[in-house]
Amino acid sequence: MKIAVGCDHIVTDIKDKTVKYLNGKGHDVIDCGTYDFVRTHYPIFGRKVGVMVAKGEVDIGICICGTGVGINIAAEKVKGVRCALVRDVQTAVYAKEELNANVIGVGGRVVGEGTIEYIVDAFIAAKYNPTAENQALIKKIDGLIGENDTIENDAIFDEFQKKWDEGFYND
Amino acid sequence: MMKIAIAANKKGKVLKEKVKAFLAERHYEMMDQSSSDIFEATMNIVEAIKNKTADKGIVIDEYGVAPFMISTKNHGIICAPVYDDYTSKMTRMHNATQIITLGSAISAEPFACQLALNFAESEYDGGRHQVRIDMLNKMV
Repeated sequence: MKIAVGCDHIVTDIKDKTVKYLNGKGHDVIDCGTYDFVRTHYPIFGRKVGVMVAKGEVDIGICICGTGVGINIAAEKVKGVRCALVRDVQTAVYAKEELNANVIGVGGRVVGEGTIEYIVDAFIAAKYNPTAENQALIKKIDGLIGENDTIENDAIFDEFQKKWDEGFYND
Repeated sequence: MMKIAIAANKKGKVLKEKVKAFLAERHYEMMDQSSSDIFEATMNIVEAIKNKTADKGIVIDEYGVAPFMISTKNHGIICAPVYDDYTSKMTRMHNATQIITLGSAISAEPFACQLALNFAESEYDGGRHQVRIDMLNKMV
């Protein structure tokens, strides 16, 4: 399976281990970064994974940050993505079977390596089980985002990165 | 008094009643906007946040996955599926989360009540975290 993986700087080591694990299973993995522990912003990497999924360049995406919340929201805000942030196998399988989820997320500071391996294995193995009811729900979810340039515009975050670099965002 | 909008479908109804009573006892003003349809239930909470009739929102179904997808597709909405202590406290602080989802299949009553309370009591840190929120809000 072709899989895009993304993370933020909090969990780069966990992402690297996940990539290695998936490669070991014979999957074709695209590592969308981040690649080190330098402070960065999770929307950059969640969007990258989401865009690859939405464009059909990969079969599924995997997003990891500290709690998993931020990066998976970014993936979900891409039109065509249906993302599930989980801590257990049952929820991951439900998300695929009932909602045809195409991105799976975990919190690297919430679940351990073993659980992450179980979750991605189960998500990859699970199959969407279409029903009239869940197809209608999926259509409604997909219809919530209208036409926008989020997929095509790779410079979408530049204005905020510039303000960040100028010291606008202070604690 | 903080206003919390809450909604559930059939599979989240029993847990929703427990969470609602638990928070009401702790002096939160609870607004129940449930619907048998999870899309409608979630959009009720999204609207309550957008038009500021509620300060925070909680949506409960079986796994919390569908309401996360539905909420997040809306402009300006930050939603977190919550099923652990750490996320229940951190997500408001770092992500400025307005809505959490709970799953009746994955979090039992006393634990789910505590998760909801942790979220209700936490506030946004702002500062460096705001750059990420600005980015998310540009996406949709």
